[in-house]
Amino acid sequence: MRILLVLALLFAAAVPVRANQVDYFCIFSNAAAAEADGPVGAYWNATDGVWDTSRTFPGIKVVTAAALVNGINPNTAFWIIVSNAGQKAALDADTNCVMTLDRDIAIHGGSFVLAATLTGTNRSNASFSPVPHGSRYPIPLGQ
Amino acid sequence: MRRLTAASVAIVLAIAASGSHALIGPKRAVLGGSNWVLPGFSAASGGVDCYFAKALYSPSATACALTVTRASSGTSLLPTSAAGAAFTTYGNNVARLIPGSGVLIEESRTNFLLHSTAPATQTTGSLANGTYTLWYNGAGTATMSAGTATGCGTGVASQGNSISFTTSGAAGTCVVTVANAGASDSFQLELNPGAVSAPTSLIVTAGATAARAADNIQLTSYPGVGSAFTEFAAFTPSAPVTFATDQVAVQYDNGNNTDSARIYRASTSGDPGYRVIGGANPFATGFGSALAAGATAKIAAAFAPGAQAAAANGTMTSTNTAATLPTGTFTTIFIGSQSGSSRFMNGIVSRIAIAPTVALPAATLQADTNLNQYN
Repeated sequence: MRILLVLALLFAAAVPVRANQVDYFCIFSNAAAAEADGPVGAYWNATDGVWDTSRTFPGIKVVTAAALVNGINPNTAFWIIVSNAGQKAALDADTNCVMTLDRDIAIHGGSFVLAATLTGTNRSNASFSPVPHGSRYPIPLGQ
Repeated sequence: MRRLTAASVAIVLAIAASGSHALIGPKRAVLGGSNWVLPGFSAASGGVDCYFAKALYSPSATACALTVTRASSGTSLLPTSAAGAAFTTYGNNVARLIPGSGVLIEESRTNFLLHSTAPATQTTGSLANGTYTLWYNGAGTATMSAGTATGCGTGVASQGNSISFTTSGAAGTCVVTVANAGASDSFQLELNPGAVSAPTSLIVTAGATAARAADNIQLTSYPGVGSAFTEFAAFTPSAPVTFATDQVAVQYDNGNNTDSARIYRASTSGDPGYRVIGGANPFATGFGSALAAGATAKIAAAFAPGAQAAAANGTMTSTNTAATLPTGTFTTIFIGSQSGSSRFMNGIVSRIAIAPTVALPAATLQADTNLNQYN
């Protein structure tokens, strides 16, 4: 039994812990503004005219009671989720990214809002679609 | 239970860091046995042979480890899967390595139907104009009819028979009517990137539409490159031959495709192709005849300054004479896409091999791509 425990501990030590998947919800007046933004535009391939869809979900719809988000009508805005394993400092500092959610914490039912300038019921009553496949954010967010 | 997690399927000793995987799958390579390695790609000659379908890796599993970026889950249930087939759900940034088949690599898609593993009649949300594909897995059927959109059609999707329709005018809704649904059924409504219907793997939805991110897959360990090199890939494309975008099998790349060398299935024709981008002598050459959807194809291409050659499925051949190659900037091997950002395989890559310092002779390319050998 002790041998099994030692082996299990050795195995656990050998397997690095994966960073949680972090979703940044960023709002722009239009797609061109997103492409031109430093941190978000880093995921835009100008040569091919495509977003890096392995890490972004461009053009999502966000429903919120807020009349304006960052001075932009959320119903006509260009929204984009930028998603990575772990937080990214450049996106943390990008004021166009109004909500940062931890997908893995949400899956386990914890407090998943890491940061947000979309606040109060404007956020807790907000919903979005499409959701990333495999995510389990509440609808509406509730936080 | 129909759905399985990746961890429960494979016996894996994962050496994982930031999404990379050492592939030691359910079958371990026989120690000391290397007669499965493609001629010309031996470890002794510096080659790398990653036979994903059979979990055989030369010179080592580490050499074939993959770095995967996919910001969502993905499943292994294809539109062509058997009715009610069990499928695996792979987590974020995990390679969709299907034992016996290979690595499933697809572009990003959205399933516009809710509760996709419990099909029920529903009205979609507002759909942007485009060509949609509805596919159904299982005993039941799904029938299109108009909501507020123009062009929903009246097609009926059933097991193995997807339908497509094109909407136009003001964005609107469509109605999907389900009949005789079975307990293990699934369905999906997805927007194609163009006018050709090319459905992809199941995206499981609940109370909201859901999007699967694209599969950006690279070899974790870059094998290097000399002045000459050879690429090989075996793959099974899912899209029709008329699909409007090239489907890349494997690509040497400088990170952003301004310099690259690839083998691929060509857009609109489905022909095998090999291509160099960048440098003083870029070229794109398609050859032979169409590689059918759902059929395993093998392409090998040798690149040397002044002389390039390719073979496909043992019988199709091509030569080229580009004077120079932009190998000096290569840093990455992408599998199943152009630089991880476009031209996705939309299918399964079952094997890749790289000979990083030699352009193999034409006879070897033909032998390596012979469908009846080295299976």
